[in-house]
Amino acid sequence: MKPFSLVVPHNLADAAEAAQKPTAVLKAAGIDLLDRLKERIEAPTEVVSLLPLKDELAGIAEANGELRIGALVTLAQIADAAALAGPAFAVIREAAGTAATPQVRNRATVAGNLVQKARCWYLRSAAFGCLHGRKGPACLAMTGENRYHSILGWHDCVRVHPSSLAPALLAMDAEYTTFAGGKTQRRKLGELYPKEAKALVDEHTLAQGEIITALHVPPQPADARSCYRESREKLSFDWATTAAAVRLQLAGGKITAATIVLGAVAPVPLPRPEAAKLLVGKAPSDELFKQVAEAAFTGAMPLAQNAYKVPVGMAVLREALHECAR
Amino acid sequence: MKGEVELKLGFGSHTETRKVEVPDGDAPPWDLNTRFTVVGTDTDRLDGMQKASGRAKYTYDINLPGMLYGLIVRSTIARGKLTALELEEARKMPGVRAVIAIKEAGKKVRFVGDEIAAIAASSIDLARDAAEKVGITYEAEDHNVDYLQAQGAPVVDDSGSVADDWTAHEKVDGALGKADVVHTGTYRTEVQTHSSLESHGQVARWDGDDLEVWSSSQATFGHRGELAAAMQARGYKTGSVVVHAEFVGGGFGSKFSAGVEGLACCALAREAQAPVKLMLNRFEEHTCTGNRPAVLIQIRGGVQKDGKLVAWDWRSFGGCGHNGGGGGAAQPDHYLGGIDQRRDHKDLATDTDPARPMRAPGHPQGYFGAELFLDELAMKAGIDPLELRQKNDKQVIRSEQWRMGADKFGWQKARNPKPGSPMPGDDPRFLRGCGLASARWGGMGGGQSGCTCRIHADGTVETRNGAQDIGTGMKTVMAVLTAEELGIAPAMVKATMGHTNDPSGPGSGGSTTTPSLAPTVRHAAWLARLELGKLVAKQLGVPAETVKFAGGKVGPGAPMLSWDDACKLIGPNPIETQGKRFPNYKDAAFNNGVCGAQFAEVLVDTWTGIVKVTRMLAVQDCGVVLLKKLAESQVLGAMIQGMSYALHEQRLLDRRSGRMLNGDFNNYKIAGPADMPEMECIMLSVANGHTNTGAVGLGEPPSVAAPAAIANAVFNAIGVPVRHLPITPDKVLVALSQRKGA
Amino acid sequence: MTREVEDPHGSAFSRRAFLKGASVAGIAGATASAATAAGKTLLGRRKPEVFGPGEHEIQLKINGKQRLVKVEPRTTLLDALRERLDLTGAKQICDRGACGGCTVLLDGEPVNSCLTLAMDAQGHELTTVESLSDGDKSHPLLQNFVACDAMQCGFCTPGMVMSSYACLQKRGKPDRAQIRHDLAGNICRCGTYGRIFAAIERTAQAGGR
Repeated sequence: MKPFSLVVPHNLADAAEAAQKPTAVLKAAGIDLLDRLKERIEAPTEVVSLLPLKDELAGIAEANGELRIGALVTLAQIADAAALAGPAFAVIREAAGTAATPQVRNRATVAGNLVQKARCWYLRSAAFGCLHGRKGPACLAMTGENRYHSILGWHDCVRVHPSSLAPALLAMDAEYTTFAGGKTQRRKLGELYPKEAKALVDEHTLAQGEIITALHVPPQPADARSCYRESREKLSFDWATTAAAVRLQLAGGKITAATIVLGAVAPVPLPRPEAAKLLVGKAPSDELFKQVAEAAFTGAMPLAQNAYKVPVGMAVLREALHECAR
Repeated sequence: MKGEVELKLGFGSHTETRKVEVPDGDAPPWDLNTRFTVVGTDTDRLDGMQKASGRAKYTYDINLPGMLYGLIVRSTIARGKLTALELEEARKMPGVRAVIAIKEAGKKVRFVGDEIAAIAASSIDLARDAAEKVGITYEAEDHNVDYLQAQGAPVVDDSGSVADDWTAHEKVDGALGKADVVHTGTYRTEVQTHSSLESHGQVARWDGDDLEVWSSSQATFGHRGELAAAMQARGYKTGSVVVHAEFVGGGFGSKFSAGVEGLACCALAREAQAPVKLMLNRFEEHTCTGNRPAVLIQIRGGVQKDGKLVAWDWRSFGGCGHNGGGGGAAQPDHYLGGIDQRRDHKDLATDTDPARPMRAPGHPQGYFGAELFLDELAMKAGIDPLELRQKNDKQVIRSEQWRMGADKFGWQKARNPKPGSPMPGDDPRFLRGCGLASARWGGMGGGQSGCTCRIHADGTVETRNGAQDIGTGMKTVMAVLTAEELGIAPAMVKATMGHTNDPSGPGSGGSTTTPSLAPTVRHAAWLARLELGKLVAKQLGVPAETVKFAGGKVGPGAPMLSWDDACKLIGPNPIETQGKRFPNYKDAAFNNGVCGAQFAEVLVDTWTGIVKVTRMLAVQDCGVVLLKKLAESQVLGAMIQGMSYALHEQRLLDRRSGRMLNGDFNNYKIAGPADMPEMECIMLSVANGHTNTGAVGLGEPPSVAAPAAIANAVFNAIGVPVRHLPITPDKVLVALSQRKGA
Repeated sequence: MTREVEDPHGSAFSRRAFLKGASVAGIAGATASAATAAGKTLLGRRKPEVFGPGEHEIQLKINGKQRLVKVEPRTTLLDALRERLDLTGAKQICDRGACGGCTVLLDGEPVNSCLTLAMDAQGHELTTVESLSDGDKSHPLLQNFVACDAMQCGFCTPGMVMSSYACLQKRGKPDRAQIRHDLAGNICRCGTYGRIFAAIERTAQAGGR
């Protein structure tokens, strides 16, 4: 890594102020950040640590059925959280519990997971200069090696969004709170991600120095069920090749509400409301799920090497739907 | 011992008596009648606790006072010329103590990663900071990193088959014409990297002109010789050169040479007048330390209705690095004895890191093609794959292995009778199948080596050799052989390896460390036993030849001295003997090498294309099994490595730059704990008779069969072969879509 | 000695543990354990501390002992352990958190020390493989690693031991699926996984944790 100063703030306001500097960067556990610094694709002068801010940013609390998950809560804590027990929250637990490795999950924070940089191998190597990295004129993966890259929702950059928690929390209609310039703001989680994930747009919409403080999961009705499924190439540590986060409400043998969000297939976590609509009012069946999966992947634009993501992604979505409807 | 002896050789029901000429002075050879006390048992690995406790010091762990950190500066282009190299700016950087040129201006650059310069600084980060200041100018040329685009490459059609015509060959064409069933197929593998967990590298320290090196090495004497020669060639007055490799974190064939990094490390240490540690990072490990090359193989062959192979025509193309060599693929000769055949191979060069031998070079890839072809041919001819092998493989050890393995595995029951359809009782989403494959290897050992054995008056025993134990358990072999000779427990023997001031030994290659060194170690122990026996005989007033060593006691039977009392007879100078490696006994071997048979079962997920290996079984021989538990570990380990190669591993290059994109463990995928199948290994001990121990090599043979067995299992599951390794989900989905009626 | 500060405006401040005589520079990073349920903060805002980019001395609690070590902010815990404290059990293999060879325990939980800044490890209980043996004495897990031959080249072994140890500590008698799950972040190139599972199961059966 290149040299940097470590800034250790003792309150949120100081953290936000220190992180305002254009050459400063925020750090939670640093699981993604350290990877980027070691590759020397980034070289901040200051790294502002959020770890001291346990009081503001840690803990899972419940109030009136709504869950507040502090930004610093780790994936391991989420996977085991008593507050997230039950079929309604399975998608969040499963997304957190299957990510990466036990060692990473013990440190990686939910906020860090949501804002991590895409995992494109051209982007993440200092040896390449690509458009998204602001180091070159074009997307190198589009015409290069792209077996793990996007098949949906891409424009001029085919990076893939690697977060497992993003689709899961989006499927649960989560919201997020940020702190910046002395103010707190709460928004729907979908606003954390750009509408059009173009090359010259960051993975997230946070302003310089804006700090996520918490995630909020709304109260769940008794008949809600959720599920996260992903495909990989090997069962031990591996990145998802496709992922599906699903939330259903079932009553009287029929689906009364549905949310589908796809992961690992687009530059952003991808809600599929049109496909989810097809479920509403219907009884679960494999035939229905096949139809919905087709709809969810309509408009897929596979690249030279990743056409497999279409059938695999549909199969994973089908599996998630079956699991929810069990 | 000298002269002719009668040895009972072989195994189980396949034994023979052979008259063998034993060289004058060697220990009396073991045979099937030998009753062992500790050899062949489940002795614990001698250095196991050092490894488990984290106290074992590998090269990467060596920290010396005043030590600097070295780094190689490497080419970022794949092909061209270095036109200018400017080092002054780097020299001025904080913490930098030496900067040397490796490549001179005007010289060729041959691949991304080619060594250009080296830096030593007080921390690795400072060295990296300085590396960015090295001024490098290139004249780049067009490069090619795809061997199928290289000069001399075959034409490959859309189905992946070689499209060039076969040239006429009278015998082979004739045999194919007469065969009942003929088949052809094109098979393909990708580049696999060794991925030793401890990277390549060294720690070098000069004391005047004397050089001491810790090296992550699988050939301590090889490294020693290279470094000594290189330092002198560089103009450094060089006195003694000693290499240490007490613990080595994997080699798999890539660590025979000290490499450019080794030479650079020693040169930096000399220039900086301080010890230097230079270890490669993971990206360099993947891209600059050699690999198992890719290969494209096309086979056509013919079989009779009764299962007898009658024709074999093979042409293969190796996807090699810039030196255009090392890409050959081996074939299972044991099926092809006496039939009309042709074998052609061509190596193709690309502007990438050249091949280095990797665990059974040429074999896993060649056997994958050959064994999958045979299964396809068998299916076409309506013959069971096992029957096809047994019909054509007359090797007596492997015949037993096929029989034992098939029985233990439940071959008949496990086969999917309708490939492409789920088996009764299975979730219809999944397709089950099983496959088998053979292995063959040499590994008879030989060469020169020495061993020092010492017995001290306080009862402690040492055995010492300067070669390395890279995880095979050679140290434990040394202790067990010595303990066997002396009638004591292995825990009482201190075995030391890895320091070149001890007697010389072989590089760990060709699975020859044990077969080469074991007779030497045993010889040293046997000589030591004779000397101690003489002392005890004199003490007790009995003839020397009546003295036995057993159960920690020494004597003619009654009385018996305790080990400690026997050793008290030794004066202040220990008994010290030098073992010698006699040549392999002429015409003695029961078998010239080893065999092996493996079976695998898979479940293929028809929704996602993921292949899960559910179980694997190996029946493996290695001459006399010296250490049962450790031998099994070798076999099981090779099977997992083979599974990983079959399903996950491949080097992915960006064509435009020639640079590896997955030079890490994120996207270079190695099988992990969650991918483990149920595994079983049956060791078949064979008294081989060619040395005083009769041990043959083991590290490589089980690598040979594993990927092929899995590929065959996938074929049985789907009914359509996946002919291109690694068998990743995308390829499986294509095969699934090609099923009849899909 | 702990001194707690409160904010009259109600927003909580992190608690910091002061060690008598220790320099301020050595005590970055809040100790969550020092935060108590009692009480809000009350004094004025404490300014952020800035460390580096150069070296300075920090204190790390390793295997129960406080150790002083000089680090830069960019120094990883792995490098601090291996290069500066000669605790070479944890290995440098991939340096990117993908192989588990650098696994140590942080407050009893396995983490990749290569992806942990040394400075972030302050105030935590760090456990390395060296804690599991002392001279001739060794933890039953290590003995079972040897008995089951759960190593070949041995380079992945310390990381495997730490993940295995954590698995046993957490679960007591893990089943095979739990063992695979807990070890999924560790790679072995020599292929010792089956032996490692056996070593863990053997240790669990004998009641050793």
